[in-house]
Amino acid sequence: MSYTWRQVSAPMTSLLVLERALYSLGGFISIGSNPILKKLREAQNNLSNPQTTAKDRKKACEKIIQLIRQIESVPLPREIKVGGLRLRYENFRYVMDGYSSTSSGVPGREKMLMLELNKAYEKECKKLMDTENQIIGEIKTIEEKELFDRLMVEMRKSHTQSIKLAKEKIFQTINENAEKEGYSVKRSKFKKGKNAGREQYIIVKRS
Amino acid sequence: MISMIRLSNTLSSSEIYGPGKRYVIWVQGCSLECPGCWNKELWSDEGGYLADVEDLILDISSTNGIEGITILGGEPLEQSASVFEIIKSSRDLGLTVMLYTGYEKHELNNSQLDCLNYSDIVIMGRYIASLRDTGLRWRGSSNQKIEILSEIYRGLEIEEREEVEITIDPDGKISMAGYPKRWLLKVLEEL
Repeated sequence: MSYTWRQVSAPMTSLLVLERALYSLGGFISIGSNPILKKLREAQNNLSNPQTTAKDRKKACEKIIQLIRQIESVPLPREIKVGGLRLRYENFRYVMDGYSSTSSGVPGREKMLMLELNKAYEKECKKLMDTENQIIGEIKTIEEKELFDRLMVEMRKSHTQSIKLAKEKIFQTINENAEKEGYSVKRSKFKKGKNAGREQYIIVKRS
Repeated sequence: MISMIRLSNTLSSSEIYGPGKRYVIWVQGCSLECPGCWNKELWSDEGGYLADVEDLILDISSTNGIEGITILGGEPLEQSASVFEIIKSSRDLGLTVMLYTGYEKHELNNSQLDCLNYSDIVIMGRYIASLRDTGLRWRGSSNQKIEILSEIYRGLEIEEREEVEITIDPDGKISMAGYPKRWLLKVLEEL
């Protein structure tokens, strides 16, 4: 007898965050033959390398800003490979499933990998959104500080924009299908208080 | 003494469990085990998590823009002492209270009746799968009664309707409340 198992990651919408998370796990992602993520990684490595000169750090910073703008419209890869395992992108999450000869559930390696991926993605999100935290490294001049601040703003914008786009897609899909089924959808966005950033859709059909 | 309550979940703002925007509390544990129940995972009194009632009340009081609270489950009246504390504190905060119970009035003890008496609206009765009707507002099956117990909601017009609420948190977590039809579940699965 065989048993099916399934592992689903936390929601992931940002290519920038995913790349950083996978890099921290010793992996990388590619988008077909498009070298953009490789260039982004090289620029990020240049920036964090203590041997890099001030002039090259500035160049790396500008390159990253330029690349971040380019990846905004790039969707997350349909498939990624981490630690020799393949994960599919479904419903804004990475998924892996398989069969096991025992009922004990998900194999340990797969379970561990998913935990690590979730943790790494969450850590990178937090690092990016934490305005007190400098993820760049040592800042020596005012000019560098201004440039790094600009870079941080672009990185945060890229991340929040990816979430916004994902929400928009979810809303549109629900709305289109609801209309077909004779339902109406009310959309609420919470802007203040502890629910800030939350969205709610109420799908209604009157009897 | 610190009062604790076993909960399954809370939602700090919802519009489908009573009038206006409400803080919704799903308690964990239900011994009624109605056949065909939608929330079987809320039956076990060992599931969910233990919450400090005081912390929960603090969380309710820090939620802006709500008209009241709604307590459902699980079976709220199987934790009637803690539920009463939540109801009373919420009323002291100026909030209205809507309470769900699978029990009928004659089955309740004094402590459970206190919970009812302090509530503004009570949805009462077992869930009966053969009487399931997703077009009913706030109820799952047509035998369940809406009892309006306070002046605040006297004369409230309740328009029957099918309602499902989808919440997307800032971190992308999607949750759903209500009784979704198959098409909606399929849409969410295939997003």
